[in-house]
Amino acid sequence: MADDSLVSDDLLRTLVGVGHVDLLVGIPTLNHAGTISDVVKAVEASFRTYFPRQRTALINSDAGSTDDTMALVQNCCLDQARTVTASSGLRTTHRISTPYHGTLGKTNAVRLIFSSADLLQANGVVVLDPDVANITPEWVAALAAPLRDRHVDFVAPVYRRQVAEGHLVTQLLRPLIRATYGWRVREPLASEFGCSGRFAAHCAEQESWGSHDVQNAVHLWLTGTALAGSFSVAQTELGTHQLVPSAPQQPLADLFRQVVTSAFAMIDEHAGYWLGKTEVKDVPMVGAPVAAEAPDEIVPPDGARILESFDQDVKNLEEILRILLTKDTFAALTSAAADPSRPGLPGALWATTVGEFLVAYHHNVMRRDHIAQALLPLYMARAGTFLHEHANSSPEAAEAALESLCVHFEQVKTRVVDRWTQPAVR
Amino acid sequence: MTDAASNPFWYRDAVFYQLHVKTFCDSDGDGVGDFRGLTGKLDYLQGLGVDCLWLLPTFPSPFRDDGYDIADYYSIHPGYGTLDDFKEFLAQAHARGLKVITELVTNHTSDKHPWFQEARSSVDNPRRDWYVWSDTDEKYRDVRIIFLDTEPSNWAWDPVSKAYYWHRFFSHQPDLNYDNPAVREEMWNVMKFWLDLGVDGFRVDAVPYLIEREGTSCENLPETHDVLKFLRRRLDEHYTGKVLLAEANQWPEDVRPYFGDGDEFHMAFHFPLMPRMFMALRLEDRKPLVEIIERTPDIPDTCQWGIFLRNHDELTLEMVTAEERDYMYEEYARDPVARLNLGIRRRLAPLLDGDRRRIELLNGLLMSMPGSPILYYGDEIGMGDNIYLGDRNGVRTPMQWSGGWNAGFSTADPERLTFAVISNPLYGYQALNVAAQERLAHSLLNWTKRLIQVRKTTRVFSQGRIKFLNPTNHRVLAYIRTLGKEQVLVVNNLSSTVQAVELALQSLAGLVPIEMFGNSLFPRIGELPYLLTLGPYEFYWFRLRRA
Repeated sequence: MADDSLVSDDLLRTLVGVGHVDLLVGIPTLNHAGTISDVVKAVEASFRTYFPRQRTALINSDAGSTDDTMALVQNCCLDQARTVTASSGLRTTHRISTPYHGTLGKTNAVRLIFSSADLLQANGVVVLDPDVANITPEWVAALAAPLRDRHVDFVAPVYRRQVAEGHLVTQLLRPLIRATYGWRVREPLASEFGCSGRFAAHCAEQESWGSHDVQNAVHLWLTGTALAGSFSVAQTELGTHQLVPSAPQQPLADLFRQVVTSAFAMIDEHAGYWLGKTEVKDVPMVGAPVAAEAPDEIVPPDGARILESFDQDVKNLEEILRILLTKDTFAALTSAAADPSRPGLPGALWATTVGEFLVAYHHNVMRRDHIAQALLPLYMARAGTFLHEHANSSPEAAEAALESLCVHFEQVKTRVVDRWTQPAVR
Repeated sequence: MTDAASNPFWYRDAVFYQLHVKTFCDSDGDGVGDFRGLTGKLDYLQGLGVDCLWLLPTFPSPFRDDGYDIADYYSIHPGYGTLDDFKEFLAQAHARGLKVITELVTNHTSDKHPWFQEARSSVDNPRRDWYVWSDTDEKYRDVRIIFLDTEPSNWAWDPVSKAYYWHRFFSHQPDLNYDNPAVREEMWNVMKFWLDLGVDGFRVDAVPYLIEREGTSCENLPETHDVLKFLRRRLDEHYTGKVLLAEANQWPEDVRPYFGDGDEFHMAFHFPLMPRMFMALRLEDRKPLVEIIERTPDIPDTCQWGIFLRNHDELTLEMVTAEERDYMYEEYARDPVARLNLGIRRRLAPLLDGDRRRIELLNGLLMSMPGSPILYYGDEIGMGDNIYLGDRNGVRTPMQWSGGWNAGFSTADPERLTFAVISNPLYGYQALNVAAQERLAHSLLNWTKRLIQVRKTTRVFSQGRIKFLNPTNHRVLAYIRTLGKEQVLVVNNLSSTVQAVELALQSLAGLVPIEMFGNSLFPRIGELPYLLTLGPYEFYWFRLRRA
């Protein structure tokens, strides 16, 4: 049974009126007046065009916007909504804008969306990120249609990324999740996704929403929950992903620590699922790729500049690294950092390093947030290495390098598994 | 309520009943209904509570379109009786306070009509110009074909005349040429003939198509309205209290011109409303209904919409979008045999799977929405249909009066009946008939009588304005009908499940709702949203009173 303490009396009254839905689209917001109208417009156009016979509703879960976000959700695009045209849907579409209480952050917003979906007995749920500037009706359709047509439980997006984008995902989370869980999920941290009502109800019941680990990386937790829970998972191509954050971004150090800690915690919790998995499978791709305009080229940072601090960082972390890593790995890392002829952190060594950090986290060899913190400079070195090597590569070459990195992580898994159940070894 | 007979605008408050003489009651055992049989059933119709009977065509006809192909405008088909039989029927109907309107098929005649026989005989014949001729079939190229399933063109080649003639309907129904003043005069003569006999008006068939002009859709043209205004002027010059009811299957805004400034039709069917009632029910969503009513323009105070659930034709899906049509076909006519032209040829009860609750709900909507309701014969007992009969005959089967021989319709041998009576286990006459339902206090028949009776306790439903409440719960259709100081709250649950609804009635705070069928008091309306719960497909009518 969903935890309905999140659902206020006002919201419950509204949900009573909405009744059962086939598709619920949720949009968590906090001061998104600049983008929310376009997102609402895209969602309603999607309802009319792709789901004209479905019972649909849009729910905006707001963290306390001080701008016009909630009013815009209710009032934008009403002329189009009311016009009887050949393309208007058969059914009433509901727009709900509701504040949520408790801890700020997208986690509670998503949880409220899931609780509402459970009460509405929604067959499918799509969650969108209003920080994304290029959401189209086809995005909603791509994420929702597999839920209806193929009875998939979780639909993750696939983005077309440039070399300079998304290193936290491409260099760390993607290969890590792939190697441990045994599924080739491209975007384990995506803030847009589709899921079945069954999955939403399952997640809504979990006790772990309140934990810091889930709070800090709810989308990663959802991906892991889908994989570890043996829910059917699929992916769909959405094209480019143009972020226009409404609020200043968190400092990278904080973000990295939170996400990595959350990732390690989740992997640790799901060990029973992945320890015995030896093969890695493709997550099915569904639907036709969403057509997208070519994005503005992002000028990659200078990877060589990033690597300038690699050697010093390793020296600074020596004491901690000697605890977290095996002797061989530490030596290889030190050597790579100090090698002037070939600066950088090779993919294989990076994979080994991450694997040993993960094991160290599992064995709780030190404060866990310190473990994540210690990984940051090495992550920077890895990102710098990739940028240095591929700043001018073709997309195909860059993709091949990323695939190679994933394979390195897969090869490390055996050692991770061996050390997982043994006492901590130096 | 004021007696309709003394009210020239009686049609605004009337409940109409459409019937087919051919299949209502046969008095002489030839298998065909007739006027004497119908006269014998007038007590039943009076008891039902209806005010006006609308008869399908009873003119002499070769019956290739069930009488809409007229071969003589001034007589009665011998199968239905004589002109004297008709006069007697009319007198008896009027004696019971029932008005009678008949069909007036203005757009076309049968090709067997003497006018057409003369017209085709020679280009010099005086009646040549009574029809629309052409040497080629190239004119009016883009005009849509109405009977799509049977007609490939709006032109037909006449081998006698060696020319093409225009027909918007079947090829054996040539269109009259209303550009010819003689045609207009003759149609007025037809009207006058029947009005002088005492009919109370006409349901005028196929009015949008009277005039053709190149480069147009040949529908709803200004010249067509000129013709209709001409006929109306003549009517008003000679008679009062008569009604002209237009059959114009168009969007509401396109039907509006047919009312003119109160100088054209008194009434017009609201075709687009009808499929949307079925759609809203299946969707469990009020959206289609609210949208079409809100799109319906105001009409002159002396005019009225004719609203209906079913009639003698297919449930037309012309005035819906392609998406809506596909939805209706998939939900209501999975069997392709049920589909005809752009519609569904099924009766009310089979469309609703014989579900008494849904039948009641749709009838409740019919009786509470703006307009004069028109019941189709047999639907008051939930008659079934036979989609395997050709054309639209499946919804025109004999009335089921009893469980006896031929359902009490005729003493003829069953093989002699025009159409066989319905005898399947679901809707068969053996159990589903008037006699049985008259014996059961809570039958659909008695419920329908009660419904009409309650409706007629107020003019709010027929003449009042409508305001939708639009609660969050889209499964509930709620509206207030207002006429002067009188207000009625109508709440309908379109859903198959129990529903709760909160209605914003604060502007009516202080009023007490009184449910109109049982006169039960409900809590006074206050400042908070008014909470109601409704069972599946339930509806309530509340009279709102200050107390």
